[in-house]
Amino acid sequence: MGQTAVSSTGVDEPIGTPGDFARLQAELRLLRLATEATENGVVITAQPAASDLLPSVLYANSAFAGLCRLTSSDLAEPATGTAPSYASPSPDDPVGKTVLESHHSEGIFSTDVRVQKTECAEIVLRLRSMPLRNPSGQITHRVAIFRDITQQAALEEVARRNERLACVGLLAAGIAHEINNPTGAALLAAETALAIMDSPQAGPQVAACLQNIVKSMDRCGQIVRTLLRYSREEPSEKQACSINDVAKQALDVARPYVDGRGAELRLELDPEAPLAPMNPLEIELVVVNLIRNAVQAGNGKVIVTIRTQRTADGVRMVVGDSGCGMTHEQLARVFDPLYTTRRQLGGSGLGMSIAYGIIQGHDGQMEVESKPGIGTTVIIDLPVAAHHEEGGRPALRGAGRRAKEEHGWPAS
Amino acid sequence: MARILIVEDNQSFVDALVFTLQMEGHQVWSAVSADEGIQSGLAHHPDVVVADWMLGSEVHGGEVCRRIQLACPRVKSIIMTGYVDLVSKGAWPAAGEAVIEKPFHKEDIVGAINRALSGPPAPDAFGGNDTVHFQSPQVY
Repeated sequence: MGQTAVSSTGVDEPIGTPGDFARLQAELRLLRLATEATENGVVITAQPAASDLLPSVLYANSAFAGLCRLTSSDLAEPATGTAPSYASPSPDDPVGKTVLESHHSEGIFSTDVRVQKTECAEIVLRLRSMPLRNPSGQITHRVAIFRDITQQAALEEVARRNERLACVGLLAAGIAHEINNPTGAALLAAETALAIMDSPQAGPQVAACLQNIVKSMDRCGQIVRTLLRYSREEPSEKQACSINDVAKQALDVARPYVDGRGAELRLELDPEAPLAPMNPLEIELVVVNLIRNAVQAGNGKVIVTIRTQRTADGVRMVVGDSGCGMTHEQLARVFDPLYTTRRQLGGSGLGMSIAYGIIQGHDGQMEVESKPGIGTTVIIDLPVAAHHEEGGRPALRGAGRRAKEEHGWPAS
Repeated sequence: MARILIVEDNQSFVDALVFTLQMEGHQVWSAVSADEGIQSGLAHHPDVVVADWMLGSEVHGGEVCRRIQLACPRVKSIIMTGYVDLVSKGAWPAAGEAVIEKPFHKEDIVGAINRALSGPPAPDAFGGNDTVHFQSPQVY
């Protein structure tokens, strides 16, 4: 037989004797039992010899079978020498589709997938797929583990919604305060106008009061519209939009917050910037978030610059600040959900990870550069020709995680 | 007729309040920032300072009143706020003699000013024991 294996003792032992065979079988049985005991779906697939071939399933536990709605007979132990009946993951099945996708990756692949479990119940699975390599470094197999994160995803969704609402609250420096100013001004103006209207010379003064009322009520309407736009659950629909318009809109929303903290905003818009497919509200939310972060980044007066420009295949927006910058450690964790340096000041640590999810959902790129004491620059690139994905819920797709693990993030 | 300084960062609100108080026969100055408010207070020595709590800067309305009181100990102060929470939670610093919640009616602010003018002298802003000198804020 001539084959050898390294045992736990480190001594080369010949395998292939009947005793070894029995031992290996027993070990295999234990491993199988362990894999069957977990609630996570586990599947091992063989990397196909050519890219146009489908990977075949070598092993799948019954939890995985349940996720794919396979029956146990589909996974019945194949007779020696025959292929398993569940030969390859099906591209029509959402779980199978992600397994196929993972084979295009060179590294660890992670993504979230939604599965309709029953007619009215949907579950969210988080896939983590790892490549197995032979001694020469070629990928031979992939192990995919599906974990049910339905509850966690529901909590994350609530946190995201709260973050969105908190964004409005913060920007408006307290909605009550924002609304009470114009309401109070209009109330005083109206009462004063009423008190003086009978006086013969009151004309211009009453007119001034009425103008004040109109202006104040206009502001009230604006605040309410902003609130409604953010709190509405709108589908992630993309349309051709001007990045400049989105930047201006974000600036209008962020203006009271920026002015309230003595920061200065500079806008450098490229009139040549082409229209790009985007959900304007989502991108606006990203920009508002970045402006908010930038304003919070300094102790003194912060200068925030928003620049747009045409690129070879799309548009770029750069949000830079003259704040305190980030350390290498902070920068490395900037997109991590729940990571914040402002926990005590009410930071949720979700702003940047949500922003990243949104940009990924637009097939875009987002990079952060920062130097302590100099400031931070966030660069967003959006393609003009985006791949339109159906049923997109970018925030949950986990693409951000994938990009990070594979490529890492640029240090300052 | 009283000499009144309004410190408020919302221009529409300033316009409405200045006009309302002028119609009541008061002499009114206004400032739209904390710094401007302090300078105006030190220059004009008003009888009453009506300051918004949130002035969009590190220096809040209470601090504006306190700094003016350092130079003009007899000045009375009224703090305006849209943050009802701050009032109900009793989180109010002692600098303001009275607190008035936005939005308010003309008679509310006129009444608050009259009460401030006829009330006891303002607390000694030069020091001493704050808990003895400063009274709890009145909320209208």
